[in-house]
Amino acid sequence: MGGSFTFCTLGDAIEMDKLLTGEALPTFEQLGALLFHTATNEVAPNPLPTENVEGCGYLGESTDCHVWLIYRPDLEFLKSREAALTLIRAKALVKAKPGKVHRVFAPAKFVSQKLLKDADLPVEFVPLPFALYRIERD
Amino acid sequence: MASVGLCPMPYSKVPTGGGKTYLAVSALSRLFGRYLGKNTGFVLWIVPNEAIYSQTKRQLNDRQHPYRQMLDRAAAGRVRLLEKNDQLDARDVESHLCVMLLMLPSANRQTRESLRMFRDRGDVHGFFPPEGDMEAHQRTLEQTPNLDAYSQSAEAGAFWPQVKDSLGNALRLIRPMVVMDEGHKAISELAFATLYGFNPCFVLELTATPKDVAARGGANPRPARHANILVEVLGVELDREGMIKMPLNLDPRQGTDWRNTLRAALDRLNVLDTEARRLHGERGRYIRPILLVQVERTGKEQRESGHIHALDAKDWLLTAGLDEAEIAIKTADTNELANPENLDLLSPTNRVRVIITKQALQEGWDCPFAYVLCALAASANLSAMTQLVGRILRQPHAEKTGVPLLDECYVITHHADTARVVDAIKTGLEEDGLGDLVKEIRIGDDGGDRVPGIRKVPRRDRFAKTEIYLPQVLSVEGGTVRPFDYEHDILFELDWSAVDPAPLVAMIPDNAQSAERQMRRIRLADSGQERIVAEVAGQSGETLRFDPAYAVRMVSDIVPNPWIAREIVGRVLAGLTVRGFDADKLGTLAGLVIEQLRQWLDRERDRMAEAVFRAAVAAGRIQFRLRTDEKNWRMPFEAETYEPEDAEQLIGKTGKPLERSLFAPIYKGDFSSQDERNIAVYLDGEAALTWWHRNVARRQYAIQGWRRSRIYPDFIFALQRDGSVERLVVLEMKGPQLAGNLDTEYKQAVLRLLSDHYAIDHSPHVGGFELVVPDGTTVQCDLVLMQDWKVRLPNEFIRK
Repeated sequence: MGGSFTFCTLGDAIEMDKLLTGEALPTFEQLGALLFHTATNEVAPNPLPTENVEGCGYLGESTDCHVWLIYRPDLEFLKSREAALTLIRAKALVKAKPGKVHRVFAPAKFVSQKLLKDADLPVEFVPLPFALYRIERD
Repeated sequence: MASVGLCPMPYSKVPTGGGKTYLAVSALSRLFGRYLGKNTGFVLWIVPNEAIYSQTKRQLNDRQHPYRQMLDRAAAGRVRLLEKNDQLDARDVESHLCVMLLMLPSANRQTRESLRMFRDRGDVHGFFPPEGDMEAHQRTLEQTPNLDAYSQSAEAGAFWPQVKDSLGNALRLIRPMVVMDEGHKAISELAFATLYGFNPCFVLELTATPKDVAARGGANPRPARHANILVEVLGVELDREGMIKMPLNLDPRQGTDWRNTLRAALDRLNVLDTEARRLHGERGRYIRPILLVQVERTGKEQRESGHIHALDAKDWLLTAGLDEAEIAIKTADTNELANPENLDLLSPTNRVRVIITKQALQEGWDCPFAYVLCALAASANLSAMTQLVGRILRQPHAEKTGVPLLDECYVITHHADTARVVDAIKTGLEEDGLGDLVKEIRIGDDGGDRVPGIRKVPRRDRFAKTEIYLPQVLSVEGGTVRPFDYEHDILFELDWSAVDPAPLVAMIPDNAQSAERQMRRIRLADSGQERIVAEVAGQSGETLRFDPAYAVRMVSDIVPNPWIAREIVGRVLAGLTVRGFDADKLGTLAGLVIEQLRQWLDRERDRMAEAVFRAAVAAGRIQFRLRTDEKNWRMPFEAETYEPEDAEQLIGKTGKPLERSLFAPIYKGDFSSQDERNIAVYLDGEAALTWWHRNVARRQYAIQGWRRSRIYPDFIFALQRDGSVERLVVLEMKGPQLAGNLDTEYKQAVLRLLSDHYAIDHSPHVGGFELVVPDGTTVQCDLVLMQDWKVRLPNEFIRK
């Protein structure tokens, strides 16, 4: 017969509404690995890097972009202004890791794409949690 | 030609869908009442083609139709509708208002048809002397020299002339009133000569595109003939009255499979259909949107030629779920629109939803229900598309529905160069007299950057080197100054946690019922008083559930953070639950709740944003200043125009070219309305002005307020006071119908607030070059209603 098999353990189901109400928030690592995969179609580095720039967790680097996540499994944090992509953060990210496009997963953003473009910052915002249900392949 | 000029011949320029027939009929009633002072007579109504002929005939024959009723009123009920082969009696003309419909080719003397018109026939009575009375014939001929007569020359063997008993001759004697529909079709010399050969007492021409005929020199010289335009109805005016579907949405599809394009068109049609059904349900107004499909081939033998064939399109539509009866093909040899069931497209019992054609729909075929044009042959046959564009412009019942989707029209093209398509549409609109609306075309998808026919217009020589700066709305944080950014400076500051949805919760009615979900069964009973029994047969199959995640997504453009949005949705749900709404009811009302939530959040956001903005302005974090450090908006040295080089220029009050516009030349077509042109001309004539400029929306000067979309003022002008001190005035104009609406009030508030906080900033600027802003330069911004500008401009902005 030959061949091989892979044994996988599935994590807890991520349910949109439970995520939004804070009833069931995945850990940063769980969410990060999943998002890295949806963003890049590549497998997330294991374990995830622990780097943190201006409150943005670094998820790793794919062939064409750097992936960041602004997230804590804490409802109050998620609702706060802290949980957003801002101009200051965008600048910090580009400074920390120049060269590739930055894809940032965050609950909100408070900077327009135009301002980012004018400031010459190659940063893309991907909204949480909706991004979880949309597989982006460019 | 001798008779040209002997009668008034005004022209009315009315675009397609502008009510030409209505104008004609009401003009007739006025003319007979006031100009001729009688209510009997003869009207020769000339139409350009079969389609308009039968349409006009139907309308005028129908005693219930308003057009006919207007005629009846003018003629005290004695209207006779004639066709060219009908018997004509002089007594009818004396006692009735006779309206004779004529197709233009019949009035054209050279064709075979028209010869009949001038042929001696037996049923034209009472106009000419009896046959033997030669002297009387001679006299008649002397009175009306251009009558056709059996030649008086000896070669014909007659010593006395004899006038022919022809329709043409009768008309010459009667001196009819002539109505020319689509008058521009009758500019050939022959048509013109024939028309005026009827000795008309009045010629009323109606057209979308008046044409001037240039003078001709050479062996057979002719003077130029100019269209004598009395009234010009503009496209914007029709748009303002809600008579046409505007804007026109263009979706140029670049894919290679035409089925995808057709599918997009069908999707659009289905969306419109849903809206139309809703409209019908809510207000009883019936609209059945129709899709026009333009294909490449229609002939029977051409199906396998690799071109898009009418039958291919039909087959695809059938597989897409349409019914055979919903598709009509109109080609040179098949005309399913002429089938008895398809005659009245506006009837609710008519089922046609798609019309497939190549180019067989003529002018005059206008179905107000046609909303979508799917031009599959746009690349191959652009001119046919040009014609078809005009066919989807009429607004049903000449009245806007209030539903934006049903007030606009849609063009979807297959695999054609966007720029050329836009050009073709432009031509199409111009042919329908709507050239001034060209700017209303919206291009979907990727076509935006390739704008056709755009040209640069330089500054006027005097200002060629003048640097002009305008203050921008700037955000000042610590030492850094940057343009004010809506998301960064407003959205970030909004505090949604303080929002209490209690008013919204109280607003949701608990007896709102979505009726269409109820299924009823009607059956006949065998006994009892009520023989017909209607009973509720339970809820329709689907069970509805309020999905908070969906609601969050629906408001995500208003509340940026989904967790906050979820909290608000949660509070609304909790509030409604307290009011006694159970899960079922919430499910049923989900649509209403979400819609109300959106509106309420939108208002809340604007309210909070305004407070944030005003506070920041007061604290100096948002500034509106002319600065010495290059953070100003800089007036470009070249403007852009869509107008061709030889387009008509705007002319000043004295008839001379404009003198004070910042850019030159300025074309009439650069303005979107006559009011704006009037203002421009007024400003230009004002000696106190240094220059003025018509600001271009979305490209040039803009002011950001506390809403996302920016304000693009319409006019900017500079005034010189006491030598060097300059005053800049920035004005936004609004039509009177917009007075007091939310957008107008918002814009006025923003402009006034900024104007009040304007200042000059002499911040030291290191390392850059310092601008010279003359001391005392002031900037004033405001919103002026169109009806007020004649008073407010001189009083408030120019002389102060």
